Amino acid sequence: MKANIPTRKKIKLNWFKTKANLNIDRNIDVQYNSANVNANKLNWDVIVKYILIKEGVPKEIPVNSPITLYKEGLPFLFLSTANSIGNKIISEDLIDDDIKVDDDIIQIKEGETKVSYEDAKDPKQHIEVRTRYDNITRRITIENKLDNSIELLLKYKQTKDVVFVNSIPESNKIEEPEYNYNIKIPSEDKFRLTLELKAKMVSRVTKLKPEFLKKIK
Amino acid sequence: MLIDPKVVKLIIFNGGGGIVEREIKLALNQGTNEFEIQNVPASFDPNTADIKLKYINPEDKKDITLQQTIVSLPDKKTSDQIINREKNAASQIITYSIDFTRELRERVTNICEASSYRTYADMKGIFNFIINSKKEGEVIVKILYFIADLRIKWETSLQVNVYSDEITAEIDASIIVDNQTGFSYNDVELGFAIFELPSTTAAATGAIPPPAMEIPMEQQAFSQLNRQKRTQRMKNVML
Repeated sequence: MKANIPTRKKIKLNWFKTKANLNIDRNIDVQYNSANVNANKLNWDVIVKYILIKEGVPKEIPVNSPITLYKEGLPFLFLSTANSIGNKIISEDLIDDDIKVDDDIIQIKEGETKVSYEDAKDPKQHIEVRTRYDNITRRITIENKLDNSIELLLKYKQTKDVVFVNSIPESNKIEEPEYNYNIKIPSEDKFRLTLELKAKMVSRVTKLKPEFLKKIK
Repeated sequence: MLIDPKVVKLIIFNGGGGIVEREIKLALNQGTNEFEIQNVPASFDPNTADIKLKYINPEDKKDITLQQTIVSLPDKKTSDQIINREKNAASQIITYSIDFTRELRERVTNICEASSYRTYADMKGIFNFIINSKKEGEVIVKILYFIADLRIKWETSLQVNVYSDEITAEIDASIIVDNQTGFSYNDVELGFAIFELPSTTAAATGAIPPPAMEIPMEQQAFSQLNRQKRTQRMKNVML
């Protein structure tokens, strides 16, 4: 391509014009630990990215290149590229503000507390370890505020302290420790997922050993 | 002899800077022929400056040889003094430009603007070379150098028109070349590459790094931790 590049000027050159398939990837990553599993309310973000699969020869597109999406001749979304692989142009990850995710607690069934002891630094003291396994039920409500139906993937990942027991509806795919749910929500509608979890709750208290306690006269 | 070889190819990096390829056909006298290339910006990298000879007749190869290249950059302190003096003069001229006629005022404004934007990288570097020839003849000289100037770069603009089915679209892609340097490139073959010049070349662009004393100690310590270099492979963009 031949061109003139004058000093202190910007020039615009046509590069390519091609048809492409547009995929919208929406993901919610849910993960609990012993600190947040019994919280009354949690909020999760829906991460959205746009993937364009273009026709023709692959083109390398630099990272952070601006993309403007137009609908009916009007711009409706400003993005930038995260990377391009072959004919795929992948946008950066964005939080989808039009999909609301609420995660509420429904029930906590506290398990029986078991007490064990660990050595403390001070030989006169020991650490009392109180362990119990709680059965916790949470409900995740996803609300689609868009004027079109959406498809998204909810990935629940169990951790060492919080393990999966059951869910309604059942997960579409299990790849331990991940439980994947393929969800389709019509416009202005809601989807609810109930999760039954087992959480290991541990608390530690440092105490004086009984033999060193002063006896009350 | 002063020569001004035409810029035949310019590969621009998206991170700023590029590679300049210039070419000229030169007539040679018998003996030593010294040439001085004009319009080499001070942002050129003397270490990457290269001369390649293309022989018109294959048998010239043994008679015409490149003896050496001589490269240097202008003195930073003197150049800055000149630039500041020109900027002050430009400012004075603009103050009194109301007295000029319209056409003259526009021309003066352009000159003054060029002066006010001028930096060290817009000064001229020295790139000379000597060719030894055993006979009178001609040779095509190809000159290559990197320019470490972040004021010339390119970016893309992608306009995606989403069709009503929401699963198909049309991509209209453009390349925007931003040349804020003091040099123009006319009728040049353009190439674009995804590449970022190593930060060590920033000195060549005239960019002034902050003095070490002004960087907090913790930040200096962290920058030491990030010293591990990462690979960066240049990717040519297909047009």
